[in-house]
Amino acid sequence: MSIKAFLVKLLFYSVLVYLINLGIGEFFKNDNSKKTQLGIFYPETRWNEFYSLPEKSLDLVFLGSSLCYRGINPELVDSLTHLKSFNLGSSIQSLTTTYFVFEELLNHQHPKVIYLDLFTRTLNLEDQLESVRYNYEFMNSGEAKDNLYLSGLNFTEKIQFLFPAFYKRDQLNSIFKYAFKSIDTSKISDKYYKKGFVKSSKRMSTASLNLKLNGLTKFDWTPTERTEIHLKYLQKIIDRCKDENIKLILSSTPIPKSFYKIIELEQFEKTIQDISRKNNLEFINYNKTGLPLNDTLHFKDHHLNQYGARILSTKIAEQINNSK
Amino acid sequence: MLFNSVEFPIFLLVVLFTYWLIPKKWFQWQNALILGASYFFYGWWNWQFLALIFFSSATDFIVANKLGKTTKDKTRTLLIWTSLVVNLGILVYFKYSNFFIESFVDLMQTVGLNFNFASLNIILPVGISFYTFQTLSYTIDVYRGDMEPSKNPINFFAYVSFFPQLVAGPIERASDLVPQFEKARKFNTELGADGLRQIIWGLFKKVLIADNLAPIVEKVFDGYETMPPIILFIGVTLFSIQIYCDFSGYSDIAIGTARLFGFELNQNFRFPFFSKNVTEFWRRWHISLSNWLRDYLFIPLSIQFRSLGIKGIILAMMLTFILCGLWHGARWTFIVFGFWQGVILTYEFLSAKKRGKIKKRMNKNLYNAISLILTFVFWKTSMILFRADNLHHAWAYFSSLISFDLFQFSMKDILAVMDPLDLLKFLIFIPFMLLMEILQREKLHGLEITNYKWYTKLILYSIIAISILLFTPIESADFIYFQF
Repeated sequence: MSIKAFLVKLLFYSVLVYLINLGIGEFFKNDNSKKTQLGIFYPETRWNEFYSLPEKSLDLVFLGSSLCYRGINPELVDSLTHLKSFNLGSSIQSLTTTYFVFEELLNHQHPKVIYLDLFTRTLNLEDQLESVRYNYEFMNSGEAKDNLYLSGLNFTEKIQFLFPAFYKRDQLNSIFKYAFKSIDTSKISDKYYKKGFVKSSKRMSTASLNLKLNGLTKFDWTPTERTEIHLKYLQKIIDRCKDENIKLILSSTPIPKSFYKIIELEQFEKTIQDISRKNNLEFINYNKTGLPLNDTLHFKDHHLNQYGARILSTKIAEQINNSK
Repeated sequence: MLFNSVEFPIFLLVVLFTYWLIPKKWFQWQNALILGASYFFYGWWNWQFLALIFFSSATDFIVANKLGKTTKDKTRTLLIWTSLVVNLGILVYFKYSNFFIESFVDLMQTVGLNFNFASLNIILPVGISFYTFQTLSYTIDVYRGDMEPSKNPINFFAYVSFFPQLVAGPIERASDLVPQFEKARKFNTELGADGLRQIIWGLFKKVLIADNLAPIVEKVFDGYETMPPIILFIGVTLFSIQIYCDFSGYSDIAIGTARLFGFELNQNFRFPFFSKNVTEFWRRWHISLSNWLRDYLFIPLSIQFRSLGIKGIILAMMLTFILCGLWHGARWTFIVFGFWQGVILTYEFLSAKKRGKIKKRMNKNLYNAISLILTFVFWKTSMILFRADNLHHAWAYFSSLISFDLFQFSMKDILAVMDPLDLLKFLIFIPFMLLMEILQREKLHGLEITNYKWYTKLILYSIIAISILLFTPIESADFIYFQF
């Protein structure tokens, strides 16, 4: 076999595999679309709803991870404060991703206040792909979306992002789970509600929470190589908010008390406190504001369910009203 | 840098492209490129330990060249001891210091003396056991007069650090590999194509089987106290498959990568699960280590103990396998693992005639089938020692496994340690791997399918490549043999 024939064959195989990979990517996309219709996959609905809002109509926006979009119900906040708010939290939202979501937010809205909800993983998440994928596909084309890919991912992740069959492969588990049975919508306990909020009706027992405690080291506060980068983006958010005259409040939604026993959060909280002090920002740590929460107000390990979210959202609304 | 990382294919493409752009007559520049690329490859993990490889290579290059120039016995002995002390000294310091200190403290405590030695904070340099043995074989061969010393330091340094096999073998003899560095190489499309196939086969075993099995095996070995015997049985069976796919997968990627550069490395695994006795198993498992131990340890020891007759051979065998166990890691479990191998090999050595008679009386296929199963069961039992954290863990696992409940099979128990998708993956990938290895048992690797129809090849390559994309575990695991 000549070198030319060898290279042609190699190219042919590579192109073929790449095309199959793109086909699988489309399959995953369709699967997400089905889940979006059922209300159990949220990013697309959230971004669509956001883009449908009139320009510069929001007063208050919540940014953060799943803790944020499950814990803060903008509709309840709005009804108590008479403001217009939206929750732009997304799954595993790191601070790097938050920055580009924030850029896109400012392309369409100019809120007076932004609540930036922080958790250990928003500061020490290493795998940016996980974080980017829940936004990139659903954001409108433009500079913020381009920058999310170009600056939000490192070189390796940029390559991986070209292979949807690879980076979306964790979807296979749920696809397989529902391959032989249809999803019983009446049994779905958490669904997209509105304004970015995801309502979870399921309650978690203390016993089942305790069962989960063993596998939760990933939530521990250990700065990673990426922490510096995430903190750099946090500073950029702070600076831009100052430039745009937007009040930025740093917050931390509550996690179950039983988790607090095993996760060393002090260092994380100290880091945020130092940043807020240095930049003259308010940091509200809802773990320490005496909210009447217990384990049954949580859902899926550390997230708040709709009952817990009601308590937190009411508290936020109360604080906003007090500061008016 | 890991073979199963995203960085590796990019690194490989850049180095390979540059390498073949260099004209054939300037092959020394190709060697220099390999040397630079290998140091970069290793430095990606920890650049500080490059000094160690450099020091080891430099010592053996100088020692071998001096050995080539002198005929004085005293000087030659001094030189070979220099090489042995330097190389083994580095290995012992980095790999065994803490083990010896801790074992000494434990021993003293058993006789009532309390010593308070703090463990040394030593990081084990990846691949140290592999490149130390490789470079040692060179000086010993030169000392024995089996090969001429290499005159060119770049060729020799490139041989020691050759990145495809630097961190986990195969342990290449200088007499096999150095001559390949000393002549021009031409890109051979057949060799290159088969190298690529071998890389894909290695990735299939490593990523799709070993890495997917790793968390399940870990779950079983960590929570063995609460697991039913059948799950412990499945756990150790899966570990046997995991370690085979992990290590032979690495070897396939290493050999395949070397072939892309025009080098031929030695086969490191020859389908060991089809062995009919343990002696044969060790001829098929980690062949480069078995051969090294045979030539540089067992044979010299046998000669040393020849006055003892058969007892001398047994002694040499036991010592070789205990050291083989210790080579794998600084733990008592590995020493007992080696000892256990030695015991069985001694049994096989002593009972060879008797077993030959039984074989003649029995149906050949039945005898072979029983031998095959017994060998695998023996290997599996040894794997408990290999995987356990300590001897207590190994014994507790083993004694929990031996129970009448072993035959109580429940799907619920299995689904408690793996989800249905995992189960489906294993039910497809493991039999497929075994089937391909049976079909290809006379070939170099499981995917050497040059005689298949083009469309069969196309389908197989596509399925494997897509499966690698789809089923790579989210948490990728290191190669097990990196820790050795």
